[in-house]
Amino acid sequence: MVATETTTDVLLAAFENSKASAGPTWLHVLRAQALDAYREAGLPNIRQEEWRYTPLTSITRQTWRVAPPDAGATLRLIDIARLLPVGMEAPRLVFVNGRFSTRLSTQGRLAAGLHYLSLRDALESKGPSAKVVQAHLARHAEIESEAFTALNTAFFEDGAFIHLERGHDLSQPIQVLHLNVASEAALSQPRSLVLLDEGSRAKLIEIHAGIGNAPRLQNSVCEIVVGERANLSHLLLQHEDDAAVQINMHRARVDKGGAYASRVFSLGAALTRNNAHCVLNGEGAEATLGGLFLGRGTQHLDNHVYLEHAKPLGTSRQLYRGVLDEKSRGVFSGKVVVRPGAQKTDAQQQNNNLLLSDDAQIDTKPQLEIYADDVKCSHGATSGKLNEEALFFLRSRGLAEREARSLLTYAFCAELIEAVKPETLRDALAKLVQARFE
Amino acid sequence: MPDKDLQALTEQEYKYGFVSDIEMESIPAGVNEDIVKLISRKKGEPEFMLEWRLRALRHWRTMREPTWQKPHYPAIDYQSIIYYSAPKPKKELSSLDEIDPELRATFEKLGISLDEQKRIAGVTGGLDSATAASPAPGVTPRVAIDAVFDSVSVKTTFQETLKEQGIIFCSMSEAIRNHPELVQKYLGSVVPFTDNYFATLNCAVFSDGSFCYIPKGVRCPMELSTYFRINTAGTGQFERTLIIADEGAYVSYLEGCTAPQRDENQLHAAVVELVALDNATIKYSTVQNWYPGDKEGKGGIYNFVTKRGIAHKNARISWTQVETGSAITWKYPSCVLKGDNSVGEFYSVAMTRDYQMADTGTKMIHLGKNTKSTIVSKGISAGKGDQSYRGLVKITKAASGARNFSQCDSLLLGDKCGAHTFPYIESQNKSAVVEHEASTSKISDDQIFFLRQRGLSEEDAVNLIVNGFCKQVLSELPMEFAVEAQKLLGLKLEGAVG
Repeated sequence: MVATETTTDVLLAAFENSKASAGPTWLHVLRAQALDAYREAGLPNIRQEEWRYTPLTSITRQTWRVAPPDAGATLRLIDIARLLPVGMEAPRLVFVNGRFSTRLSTQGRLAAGLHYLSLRDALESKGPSAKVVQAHLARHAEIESEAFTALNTAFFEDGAFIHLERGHDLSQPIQVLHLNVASEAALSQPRSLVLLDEGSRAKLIEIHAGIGNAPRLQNSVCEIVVGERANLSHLLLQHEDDAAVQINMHRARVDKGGAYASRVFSLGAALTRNNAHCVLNGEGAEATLGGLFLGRGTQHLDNHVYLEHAKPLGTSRQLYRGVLDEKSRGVFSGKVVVRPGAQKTDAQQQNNNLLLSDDAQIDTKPQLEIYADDVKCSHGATSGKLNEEALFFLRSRGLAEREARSLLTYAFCAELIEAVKPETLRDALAKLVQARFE
Repeated sequence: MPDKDLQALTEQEYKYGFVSDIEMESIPAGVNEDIVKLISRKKGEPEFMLEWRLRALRHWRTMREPTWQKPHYPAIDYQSIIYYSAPKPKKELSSLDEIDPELRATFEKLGISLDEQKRIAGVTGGLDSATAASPAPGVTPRVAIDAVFDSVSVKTTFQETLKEQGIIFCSMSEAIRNHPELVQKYLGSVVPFTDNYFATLNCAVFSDGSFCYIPKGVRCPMELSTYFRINTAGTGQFERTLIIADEGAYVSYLEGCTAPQRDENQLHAAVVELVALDNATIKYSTVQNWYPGDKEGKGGIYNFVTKRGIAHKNARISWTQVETGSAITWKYPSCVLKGDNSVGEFYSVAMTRDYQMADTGTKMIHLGKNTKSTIVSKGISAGKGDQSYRGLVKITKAASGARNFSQCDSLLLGDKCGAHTFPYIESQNKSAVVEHEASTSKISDDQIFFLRQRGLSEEDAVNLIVNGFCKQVLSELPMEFAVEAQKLLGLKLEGAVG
């Protein structure tokens, strides 16, 4: 753990010198608590149940520094255009190494009821946003059991702040791009807050990407509150390259009658850990969580889901699919907890995996923890290969073996892609995924 | 569903809670090298056994008790447990009347038939050789029983009959004395003395158990059975079972257990090892009914058992368990599918009520090519019962063509119970196919309504549904045990047995 202690010291020094340290007092208190929690726990290791399949040697073997402020100063709009699947039209917040870039962002003409800006700007604003931030920031994501969240809370500089007021319906999706640019090993820790008030609806597209050959570690945390009868559709596309390590935490609270849908597409990075934590905190709340992870080379892709039914009449659906080629390794761990009294819960969880190579590996752990009796809960997990009969069928129709395999592999992923809206995004995703199997 | 039906179903009294007033010989409480030496000396063991026990004890001292399990329990004081307790030896008996009336009454209460009682109690010239040799066709084959009372094997029946076929079925102590070469070769070969906290403790202090060897190509003509009973207060039971089925052999083995009602928690930490050599089949069935504690959760047995089998080429190992007793049941009967084409099966019904807890499941380790495993686990949780299925299916890189299917269903009766499922699936082979599915639900009002409409009483309807829920597992049990299991679950199983 020597390396991480040095990292903590380096981060602490960097933080104290940065502008981020000049926050309000309440935030200082939260940061101090988080730092204590992180120091107490240290980075996780494979002896801990939640990390048993994901060794963190790629993180612990080096000291991480915060990227210098001028990193990415030479980026042009054209560099980021190719990273945005729905193009440059939709409004976007761009963060380079966890810092807001006014130059690359465009807030468009702000829809009524929408607050859409950087978290730092919201904190420093004189308007009502500062109060909203204080009420929610670091109040939802846990730090005790999540060392990475604690680390982020202690040292984050900036991130997206999205707040949609009561009853508003956004027609256009909003984009957040987290771009990691580094010429030497660098850590970025974006921190975002997404709040949907009662009865509002929004679509959020989050993109994680990177540029440069140096190792990049991104440790992001996003806290989400979906208010009563509100509806949030959230998509994360991660197409980093092999130099990247991605640790993401999405912590969502869904209130009475609200609906939260999340889809995570993990295509890149040497090591990815996606934590999706969702609490159905009101009667009749709904969650649809899904993810597609495609591994090749020596990629390690880990999806960890925690879904809690805290109140009655909740519905949850989970569908995670993994395709693992070459020497890649996939991990799925999904826990559904039904609290006492959360009667009439309907929870389904599904994880399917396709191994394409003899050296690929999948470890899956779907879990149910149920403390109420009037429930309908089920889960399923499979691991297997392409169906030989389906292959034969396609070959007998004149497809080359390669084509047939590519088609079937894509079909395995299609269920997650087809449901994506808008269509431009769906088609862009389909292209990205298809390109992987050709 | 009316609450009274559930109550009737889930609140049956424990029938086997009596204490037998038999003179017992015990040693001082605690575990140390002297105690281990004393146990070994009492059993008249050869040197290699003592050495093995002492190595286990030394290793155990370096280990920490696990804490990852779901059920938690107050710390166990291992120095206050009596590790050896045996009925005082009596002279050879010549008629049923001379048997210690308490021991006889014990077996009567346990429901073991009179003929069996004679043999168990050591009456000479029983029916053993006369009628057991050729069971009439169509008659249910008899069961050979090894009764283990507290720490030692009281008596093994039908030994002579089995001997004719070369089958060795005796207490572990006898096996150590009479067949040391087999014991030395296989004991600890499946569950090594370093395996886990409770198994290691067992290696150091185990007092007896059953041993069974089926020679090459022999199909064991009857069910073999061990009946375990904890009687003395303050004792722990640490028995050890070793079953070896040589090439092409077949054996079906049954295990049953009961214990008296006491306020204290008693520890039962057994080890069962199965070795199925090429083309052999071992079917191991358990009906576990240790004392579960009272309605407030006081007392009861801690059933922390390590069971594992190793299947060589084309061999098959099948575990069937009905777990209704114990305050805490914590065990994972497992199969190491070492040989190509070997098969592992696990069928389980677990019922928890009052304050009972269970954390059970299986591990299927696929090492050989084309190995297959099936897991069917049914959990019924009532009252404040809490249970978990925890299982591992591991497909190693070499296990091409491996196949697993797992199904884990839970039925909840009451809003204060818990049911959890924690399957682990690790696959390193692209040609392997692994499927897991699990569901949790309660008996729906629709189902009850449908059956009521067809003239069934509310109670019969509940019974029928629970019966149907468990059928897949109960049908794997040998006939005699299925009947016992049915009684234990308090259900009517018309037509489901077989």
